[in-house]
Amino acid sequence: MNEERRGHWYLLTGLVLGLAAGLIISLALSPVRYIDAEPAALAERYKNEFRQWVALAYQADGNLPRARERLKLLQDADPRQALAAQAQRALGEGGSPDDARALAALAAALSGMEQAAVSTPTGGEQPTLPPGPGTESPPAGATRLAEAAVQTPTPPLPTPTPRATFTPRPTATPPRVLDAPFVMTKRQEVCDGSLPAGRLVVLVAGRDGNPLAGVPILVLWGEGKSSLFYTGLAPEISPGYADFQMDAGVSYTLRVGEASEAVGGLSVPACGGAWRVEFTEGG
Amino acid sequence: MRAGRVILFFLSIALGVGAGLAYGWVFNPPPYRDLEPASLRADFRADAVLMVAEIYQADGRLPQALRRLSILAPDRPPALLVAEALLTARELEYAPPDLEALSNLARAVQPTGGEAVPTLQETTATPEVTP
Repeated sequence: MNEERRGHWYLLTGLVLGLAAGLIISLALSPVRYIDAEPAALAERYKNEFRQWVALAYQADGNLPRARERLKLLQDADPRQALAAQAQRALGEGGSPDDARALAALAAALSGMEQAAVSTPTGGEQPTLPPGPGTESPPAGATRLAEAAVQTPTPPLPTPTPRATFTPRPTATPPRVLDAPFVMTKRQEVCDGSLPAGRLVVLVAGRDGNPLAGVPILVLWGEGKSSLFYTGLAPEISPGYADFQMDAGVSYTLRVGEASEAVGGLSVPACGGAWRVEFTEGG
Repeated sequence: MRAGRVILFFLSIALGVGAGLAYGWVFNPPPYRDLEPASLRADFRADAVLMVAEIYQADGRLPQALRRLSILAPDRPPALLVAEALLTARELEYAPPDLEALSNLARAVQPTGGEAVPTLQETTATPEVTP
């Protein structure tokens, strides 16, 4: 009689207790753990790390198809942009310039690869990277840069780029070694509004005239203030492109590469426009 | 009568546990993103180790290689990680130069005795670099 008066609350109690235990187990003590995951599912910081490794591995072996396949695994909407943005972030956050340079060089190389793929079927001139002196056996630890990209005025078209196998070895693309100073070939005020006000645009080309990525650019101003950045962070414009935003009333000095003459007296032009300065490797 | 209530009570607990587990494991699992490298499939992990090996072969910086390996699997000794990658690479018939790069890395991380953190002595070890 007593038991009957208690009703069926014990069932609800058991259910709630069990539910609580089940939730604690499944959400806290032993949550789902994914195995056999793909790189695209990694957290952003690990994707950045992965991208960095791809760039450094490319710098080490020069195998562009392999680097491209590896980047595909991350499923970035635009791998080149992702590389360039990461390079900029790395520099902005005080990261290793070498890492940023590797990222920029890979971004530029990918850009060149696509442009080359576009220009090949048209039968136009197909510039190739000349095997520069000393590139057959570069010294250990030397700075290796991607081959200068082919730049054509033709906008990139969707072309069936050959799908690379996953473990091909380098296809004899000798890395570049910067061994000559850069000489300024053009210095021009741009007052037609085609560039943002106060912008300092630097374009760097190699000996063969092709845009050169990964070249360090140092801008100095004021009392010991400086900014170091690299070409190739905006591969969609040109692999040899870099820019800097000047403040009005400040005079800047620019140096390209590591052994070049400094170009001083750069400030926002009187017309309120921008500067466009071009350099060529070795003059 | 009393025994029946006890059985029903435990049955309701079991039902609740089942519902809780189903919620966390089946109906509302964590999203398939923001994962850690330790969850990578073996072939992807092997390729990541290969990247570390390629970078190491070029720059010869063992502490950096160890740091990268520890990112891939923080709770696993680097030597074991590289050995597993080497096995996977052999199974997948990687090219000989890739196997060689992995072997070089395996040899380099061997003396660490599985320690994830490189010692000062290791930082001075600079193996031959093949450009």
